[in-house]
Amino acid sequence: MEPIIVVGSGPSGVHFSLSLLRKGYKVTMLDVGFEKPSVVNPEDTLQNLKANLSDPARYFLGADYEGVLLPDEKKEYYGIPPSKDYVFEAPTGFHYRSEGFAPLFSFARGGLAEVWTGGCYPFNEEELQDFPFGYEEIGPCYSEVALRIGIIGVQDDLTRFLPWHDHLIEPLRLDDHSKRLLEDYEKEKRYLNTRLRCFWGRTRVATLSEDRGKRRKCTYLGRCLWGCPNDALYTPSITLAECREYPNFTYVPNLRVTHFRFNSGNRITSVVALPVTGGEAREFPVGTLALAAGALNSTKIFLDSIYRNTGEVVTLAGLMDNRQVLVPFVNLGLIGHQYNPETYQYHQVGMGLECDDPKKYVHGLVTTLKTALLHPIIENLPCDMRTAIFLVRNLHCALGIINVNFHDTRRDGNLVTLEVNGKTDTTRLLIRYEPAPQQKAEIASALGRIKKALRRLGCIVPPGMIHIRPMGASAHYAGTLPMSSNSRPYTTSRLCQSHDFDNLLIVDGAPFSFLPAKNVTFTLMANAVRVAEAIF
Amino acid sequence: MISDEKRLRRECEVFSRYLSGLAPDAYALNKYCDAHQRVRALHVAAGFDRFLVRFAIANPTLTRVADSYARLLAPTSTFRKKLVLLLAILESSASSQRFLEHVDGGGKLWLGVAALANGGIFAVSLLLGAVVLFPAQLALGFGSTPVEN
Repeated sequence: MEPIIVVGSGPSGVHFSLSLLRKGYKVTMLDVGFEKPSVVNPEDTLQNLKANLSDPARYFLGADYEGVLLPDEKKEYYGIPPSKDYVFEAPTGFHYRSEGFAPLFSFARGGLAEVWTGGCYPFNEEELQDFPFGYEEIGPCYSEVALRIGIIGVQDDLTRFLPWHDHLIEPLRLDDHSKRLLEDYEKEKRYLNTRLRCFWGRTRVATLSEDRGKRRKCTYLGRCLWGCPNDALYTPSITLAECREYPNFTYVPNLRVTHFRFNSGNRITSVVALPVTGGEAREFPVGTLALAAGALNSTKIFLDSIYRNTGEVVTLAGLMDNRQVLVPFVNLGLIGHQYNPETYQYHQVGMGLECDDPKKYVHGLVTTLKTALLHPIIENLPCDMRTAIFLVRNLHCALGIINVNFHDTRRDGNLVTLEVNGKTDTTRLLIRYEPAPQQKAEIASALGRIKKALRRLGCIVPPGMIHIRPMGASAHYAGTLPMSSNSRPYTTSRLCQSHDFDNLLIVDGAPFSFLPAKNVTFTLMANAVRVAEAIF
Repeated sequence: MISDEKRLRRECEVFSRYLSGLAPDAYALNKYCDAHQRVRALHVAAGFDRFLVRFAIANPTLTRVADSYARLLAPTSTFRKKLVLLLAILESSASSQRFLEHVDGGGKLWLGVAALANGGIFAVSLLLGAVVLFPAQLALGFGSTPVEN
């Protein structure tokens, strides 16, 4: 049997591999694979961690206090704690430059999804219009992934946007604020649905409400952001561990794949990887190569391979990413209430804005404030800190934020290419991105509707606090090597087989032809399963 | 570039009383001093930046005056960074985070009155700060090169 090489251990790579392993194929996964630190005090709630750790500030703020958001930090604030810094660590020799785009890269085991918030939103038929397959084909794969990872979900008003599939499990207990929002929505839904075309409901999240194998159900420790100690919140490193239990799986970490070699018949013969710790490049013979390193990383490997083999620098257009806008709000009815820190921390409520063109659906994740560190909020209020502390203390239970996502389409101006340094014979990825001209108007329209909806639910949006995140911040990258029914260069087949290289599959977001407003990770996993099941 | 520990302890003491109403415990004091050895952005520059810190450590009332002024007219000053750092340290530890945890009793009406009172104190502090600190800022400007305390 020819060796199947998979590059990357993110959501696509691990689910693609797992499908193959179950069929008896021999799979070798090459990965940089930075590891997460061991879990501390797995039984402690977040509040107890503060009491029981000998040096809690080191855990929460980092050894060099890198978790403190000092006032002149201009960079985008992700709220990622120091214990997850490994996710964004880059190996030496990896370089990029970007214009109009602030990309995130991960070389960790599990990839960027190690810091996701677990949202699992299947694309519907309209959103799959630009793909060369429909819901009927990918629907069973959503169910399969749900069975593998565990997703909570209920049928409610959001189901009109989120197709219902098998293997969803009972939802978690709601925190008081989320519960109140949904109760108020029930009272106001007639107005919201008909006048604003705004629908609210429970989000579908990859978190367990029941024990499953080695994973324990959520016990409401309030530590989601800091890394779930029970693996109740799914991350791809869990599936990687499952893959590693198969005797026909070989995991080779500490290697950064730089390019592949191909022969005159455009058949890939081997893949070249550099040890992260330095030393000579290693070469692995290839039967089939599956790139699953994340859309941008896979694109760089693809471009580097063409450059190293032919000297040609190719430019790929069509990069996509979801624009995200953060809308903080205060629920007036909950001012002065005490918050409960022992709750699920990420979003459990979502909202959708229906549009005339269903592909322009706007998706919002409603997160109520629970156990986050408060100093970044206090620091940002336009008053002295003593007053800000008073306000935050009494508003804590009433604070929430909606992360509003907008769709994106493939456009020629948004491109990815290489910059070659002739002296050192090294390359770096160049990313250029410009938002669609109509995006400003779409954002303004959506925000108007959201503010009105919030007012009906007894909430206000503090003036001047809405934050439009830079492109790249959502980390939902796609579209550089799109699926196409025609056999054009730099595209893939409907089964993500490269039209340029016979034995190359690209199973991450790079082949996506359209990016709906929904978190793409669930569809990345389902698509990888779809490809694996159809080809092998 | 290690700041003078005695001065740092004095800063921590006064700033903690300003933020939480309480003196810092030994853990917070040690972490505050440790951070100044590790984070270069906390080193006080010359000029107004230095003046602002010295003004603010006189007592918690003047800290509030300095903070109100700095929030609007010197938001990236080292003084503000020190306050944010200490706030982050205080909220990381169970023994010192209580001032952030519990809501003030008395109902919404009382909270409204208390919010107005806080807003009023902020406005007065800002005014006082403008009278005292604005001329100093004009005269001294911001020092851009961090120096040892």
